[in-house]
Amino acid sequence: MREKNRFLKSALETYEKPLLRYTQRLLGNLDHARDVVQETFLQLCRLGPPEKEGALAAWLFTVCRNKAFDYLQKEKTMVPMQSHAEEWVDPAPPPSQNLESREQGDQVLHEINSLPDNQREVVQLKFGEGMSYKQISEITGHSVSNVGFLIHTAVSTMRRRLNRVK
Amino acid sequence: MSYEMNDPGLTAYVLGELEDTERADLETAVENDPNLRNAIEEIREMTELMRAGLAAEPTSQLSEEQHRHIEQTAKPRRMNPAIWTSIAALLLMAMGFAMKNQVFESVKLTAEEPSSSRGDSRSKPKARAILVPPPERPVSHVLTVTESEAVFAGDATEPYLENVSDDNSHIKSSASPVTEADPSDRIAEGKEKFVRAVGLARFYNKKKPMPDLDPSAVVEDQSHVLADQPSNTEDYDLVVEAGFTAVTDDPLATFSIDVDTASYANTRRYINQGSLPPIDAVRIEELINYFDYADPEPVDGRPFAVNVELADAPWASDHRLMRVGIKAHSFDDENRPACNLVFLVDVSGSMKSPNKLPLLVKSLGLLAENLGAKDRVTILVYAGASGIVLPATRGDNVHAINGALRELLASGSTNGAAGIRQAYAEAKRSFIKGGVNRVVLATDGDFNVGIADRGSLLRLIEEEAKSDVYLTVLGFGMGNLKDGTLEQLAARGNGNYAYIDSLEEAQKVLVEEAGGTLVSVAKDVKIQVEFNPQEVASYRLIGYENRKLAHKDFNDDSKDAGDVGAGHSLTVLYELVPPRVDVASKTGVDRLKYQHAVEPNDRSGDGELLTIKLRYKEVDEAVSKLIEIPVRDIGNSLADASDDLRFAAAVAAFGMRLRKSEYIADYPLEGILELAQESTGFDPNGYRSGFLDLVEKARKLMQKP
Repeated sequence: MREKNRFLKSALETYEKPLLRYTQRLLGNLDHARDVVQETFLQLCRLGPPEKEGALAAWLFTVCRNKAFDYLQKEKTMVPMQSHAEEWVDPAPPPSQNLESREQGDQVLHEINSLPDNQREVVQLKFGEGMSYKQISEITGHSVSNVGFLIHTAVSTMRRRLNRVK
Repeated sequence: MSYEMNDPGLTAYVLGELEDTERADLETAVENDPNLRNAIEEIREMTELMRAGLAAEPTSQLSEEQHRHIEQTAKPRRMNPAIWTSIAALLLMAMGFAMKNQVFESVKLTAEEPSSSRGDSRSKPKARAILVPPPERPVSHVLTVTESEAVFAGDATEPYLENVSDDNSHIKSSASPVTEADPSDRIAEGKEKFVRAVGLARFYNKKKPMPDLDPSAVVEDQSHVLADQPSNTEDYDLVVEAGFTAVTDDPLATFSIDVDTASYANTRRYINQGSLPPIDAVRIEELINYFDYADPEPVDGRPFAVNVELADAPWASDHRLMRVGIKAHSFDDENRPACNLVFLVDVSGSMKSPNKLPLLVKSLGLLAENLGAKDRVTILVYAGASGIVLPATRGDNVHAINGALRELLASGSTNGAAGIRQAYAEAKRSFIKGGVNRVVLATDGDFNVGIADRGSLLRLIEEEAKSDVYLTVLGFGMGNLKDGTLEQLAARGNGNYAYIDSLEEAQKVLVEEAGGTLVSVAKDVKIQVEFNPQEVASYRLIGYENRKLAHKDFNDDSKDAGDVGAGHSLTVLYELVPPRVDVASKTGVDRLKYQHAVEPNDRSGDGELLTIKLRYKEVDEAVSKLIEIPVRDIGNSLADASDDLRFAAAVAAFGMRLRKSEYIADYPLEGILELAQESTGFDPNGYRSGFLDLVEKARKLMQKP
């Protein structure tokens, strides 16, 4: 019991924030993302750590992704699909940063949130979570070269848009 | 091979995702195509912006209620032995942590979920782990891990580790041949360990849960490792600790001296900020050489004096510790040769923060204060474009020098290579014959335009260093410090490398030790030790891992080695195992089957332990001179030894603990502290007392749960 709780606690400590960032990027909504991440950890509780399946990180991200898509699927049947960028609330920046870099940071985030769903996802995993193409490929099911293509396209789009703003 | 501007390979290159051959192709294409170079630079800037933008975004957590719910759902349940198994594997693999990425390159993990399960919250992906041989690398073990043998718990940390070195992997793998050889051994070794881990895991799977392992402790340990990896792009070369070598296997040890001290200042920076440094950031010889030692200066007209002392090794009382102290001849200010200094200042965007450019300006100001009418100062900047800020100016024109320094502003990207070429050209233009001609490169080392791959950069420096212009590298800042690149640049450029984290450190390097930093008294200093098999069973050089030389290079004057600056103190430590101690258990090498490796001759019976041979060149000469020092052991105990030996031993022990060395086992930090406290005798600048503080802080950090 104690061991199990400690295992879970440590899994939460390590993965709660990354999973939440990732899911929020997918769904564009913090509350829904929280529900999905909670469900993911509940599943971890029920089934135990991936005994036979290998890596915990890959397992958690994959489960989380499936649940997020389930959620989107359900949502689609209820309300007309809308752009996630619109319901995105740009977060307040930390006070320590200077104004110039803060504005730039906000601009970058805004543009990331305006990317198509599949690009937004790989961008979060690559630049937000520091994963390799290969790891991203394992989680998303895209081939490695497709991951590379999506990331390259996203970076090119961002360059174009930010340059135009400048 | 030509590249389209919208080739995904460009982005993959920037992110370090290209295979070696593809990378080489692209680098060739980039060198010939400025447009391509621009495109890559723009991509790099964009990816950095994206990374920074995402990192700055505040992270949310689950609500407290959700946390409670999750914790309550964690019902008591016996852990499956397979979990113990995976934890056992994780623990064993933690030993091979550094090469984990390479090992896991070969792990293919696929996760799939039946489409019918969409909407079922209890659905669970099926993942299979299959180990396949990595491409283009000979493998002696091919393993298939079936579903009943879970060993990939260790993989859990991987995505986050990657963050640390992410876009620099291309720099690492193009390292010089000398350093390249070692990591591959290390990979092979990692594979061994991995294989052993799997073997053991299987064993325990069939037997019973491992009784001594607390799974949560292991998992916690893992998150500790995660916490230790700050999310930044600092870059350190792999340093593989040298083990014991049996004298019968190789009676010679050959290496180049190293006068750098950067690793100590960098280690101190980490500890003062409340975390232990990454293992590869700790180069033990640089820790030891940060301090002054009381060795007497040479009196025989030679550029340096050599002192040798032996005592018991504090961490292994049946081993002997040998300290070789090298003290270079120093100058007083009047007799100092004239200096022609070319400051090459990195003013790229990454230098903006207060601990970089502003500190750099003040530091160079300190250095300039001590220059006089006979000296010359030139200031160059490099960023997107390079240029001269101050043409060669007399050293006593403080006004002009400080004025130029104050006007330096950070912006743009970093074209290091162009700056370096221009700096050497300027140094040659205002060359002072018989004086000191030196390029002082001040940077965080994050070269990202022009020649960004390290191999080409090193070749450029090596080429330029053939002129009599020397190089000093001053490293600044944190977060993206390219420590490995800078250390190698200094090594190839007949130079030294110091890390400046504060104005005090600038004072030490550029004022108190200005002589040593700027004026060389001997160049290409190499050491070769021959051990007497009758007196020494095996030996181990402490530190200097990346300064090893081939034995034949010792007498080859065309082979470059380290330089010694005026007044420098250098210390080399050897751990020696006397013949009465079992050798095979120390070296892990079997006895030879067909021959006696080393046949002792008549001279071996006269009681000499070893002979130290030192080769050096006078600064303006091309032919080396040889010093030979036979060494006997008079059997001093540690208590009999000088403060210098005991203090150097304490610093070495500290470095080994930070590096989690297997050769120091459980020698406690308290012991190190005591040893250092008792030997702070010679401490003219208070650096040794500073070391005591540092050990104390590290002790607390190591105690933290």
